[in-house]
Amino acid sequence: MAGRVSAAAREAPALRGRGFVVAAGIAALFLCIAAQLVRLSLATQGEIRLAMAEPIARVFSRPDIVDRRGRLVATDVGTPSLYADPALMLDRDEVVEKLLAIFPDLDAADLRRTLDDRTRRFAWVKRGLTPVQAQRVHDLGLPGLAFRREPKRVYPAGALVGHLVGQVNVDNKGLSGLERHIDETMGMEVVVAAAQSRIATVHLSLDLGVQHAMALELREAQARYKASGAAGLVMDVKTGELIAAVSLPDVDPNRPAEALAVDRLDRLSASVFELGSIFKTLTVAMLLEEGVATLDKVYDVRQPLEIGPHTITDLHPQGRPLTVRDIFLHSSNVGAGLMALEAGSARQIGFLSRLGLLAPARTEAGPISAPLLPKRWGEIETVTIAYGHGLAVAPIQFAAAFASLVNGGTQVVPTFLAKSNASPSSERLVSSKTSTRIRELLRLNVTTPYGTGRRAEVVGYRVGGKTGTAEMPGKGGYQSKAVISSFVGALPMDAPRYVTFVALFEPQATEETKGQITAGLNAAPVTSLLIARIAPLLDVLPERLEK
Amino acid sequence: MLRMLSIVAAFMTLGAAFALYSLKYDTRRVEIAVQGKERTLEKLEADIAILKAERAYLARPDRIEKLARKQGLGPIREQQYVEIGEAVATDAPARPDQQKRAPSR
Repeated sequence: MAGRVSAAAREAPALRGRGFVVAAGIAALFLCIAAQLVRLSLATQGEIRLAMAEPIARVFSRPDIVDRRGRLVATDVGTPSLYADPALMLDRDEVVEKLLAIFPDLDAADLRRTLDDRTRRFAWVKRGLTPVQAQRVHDLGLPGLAFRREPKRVYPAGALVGHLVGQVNVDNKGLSGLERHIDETMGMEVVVAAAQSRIATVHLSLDLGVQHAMALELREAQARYKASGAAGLVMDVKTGELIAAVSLPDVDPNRPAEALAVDRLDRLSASVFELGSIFKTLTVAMLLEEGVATLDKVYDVRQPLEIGPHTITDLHPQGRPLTVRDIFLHSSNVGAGLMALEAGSARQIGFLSRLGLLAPARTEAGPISAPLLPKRWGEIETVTIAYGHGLAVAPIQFAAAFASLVNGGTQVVPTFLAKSNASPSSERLVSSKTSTRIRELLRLNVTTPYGTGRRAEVVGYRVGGKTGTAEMPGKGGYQSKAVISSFVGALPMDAPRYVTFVALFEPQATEETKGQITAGLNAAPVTSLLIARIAPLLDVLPERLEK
Repeated sequence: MLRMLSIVAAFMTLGAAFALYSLKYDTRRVEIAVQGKERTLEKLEADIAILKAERAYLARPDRIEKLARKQGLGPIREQQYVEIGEAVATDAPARPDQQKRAPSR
């Protein structure tokens, strides 16, 4: 008995140990199952949802774009898009036939092929329908056709901003211009249906009122002088914000196909031009800044300037030696050439590159067309570039350089976004003394009776500026009848707040211009009309009311 | 004593089950209401987006300009700016010296 007890007592721990192992094994098994359940329910859920959403629709919700005064430039509206579920369709031929009656531009063969694939449960038929079209499709009452609401980009400001906003594709993704910039810098928001974007509203530097005034004045000028195109901008002289930027012919962002035409390119930033005599401002600034000459230094401009096989002449030779001041006021090519020769090409290259005119640049609306530099920069190039030929730059880049010359000498970077409290750049390009001299000279060019810019005067606003009439290069050299006439100016000239630039492409001689096509007779008066109109919009007070 | 406790516990369990049941249905009702509100919200947001776009389209500067010109309005001219004192003075009957100052351009 005692032996049996002791035997049982001996076996008991072993049995208990075995039972424990079995229990632990079962527990581990259940733990594994529980863990797997938890893993499946947590981890796979997201993937499944994404996998379902992906093939259906992947569109982007975009933030609103407003001008500097909060007026709407671009926004998303929900529009119905039509899709098909081929598996639910009864008679494909009937569907194709009836849809073609509503959308004549649909590709019938393509649509039939799509609908033939019975394994598909989703295929776009047409996106961005108008409410009327959607109602007509709905009224067909065909099974297998349904709608999704998708965001569609609309531009209430239309062609006024066409060159700047760029384009979006059918998924509402930014392809070019500011739309692309927004995607690149602010991120993209994927949505499956039309929804308000949570990305902050984008504030442009543009003022739609000023933009409209500019477009209107340019359009009238284009008609008056029968010009093939026109362009103009208004830039804040310190921050580089573009208050207006217009290029005609314009493009309507609501009709993206238009933007591809060559003559509709943005003439302010997507093309480069030899801008002519407005470059003399830079030449004189270089002379003053480098200490080569003062405004009173006299150059002998009586003879045409001969360099190798080339001869540089003046349009209106004065027949007497001229001071730097008078060379500028009479816009003498010979004088500008002589001044540049004295400074030398090294100084000229250095000065122009300091102003940022020799390197490519970009704005939020995309890259600015890169400057076209001469192949070799010898004496003749130095002379021609002094009066604005031989170096082609985008007007927007020139305007920024001009702004930094008149704003006291600090660097200006053009921008299309509002900079509410950004401090202006403090990088100095020219001394404030040079800037003051240039301002005086530009003002003199408008107030002096023989100044080329006298027709740009606007009573009360102290306009200053420089004219430029540049012959356009054509087959076999420059064409004397096809010119770009331009006026670059600033107001009020003693303490500038805004730079204006107006250019007319291939203006024709009219009675009003006495048969001439020079900028003093077309671009300058256009600037005068423009400034008279926009100064009140820019909060520039007339001189007599300034304290 | 123990049986009493069991009976109370059983009733409490039943009560809790009922409470849970009705709570679940309440939650579903609220969920449906929330979904309805969300749909209304989406629709209103879409309507607001369209109205905003339409308002901006109607307020295009070129359209406003045409309308304003029909009313005999035009861009502000430099001569229309006056000192506050001057503006008050012109409200009074015009005197010959003021008429002379009136802009003629």
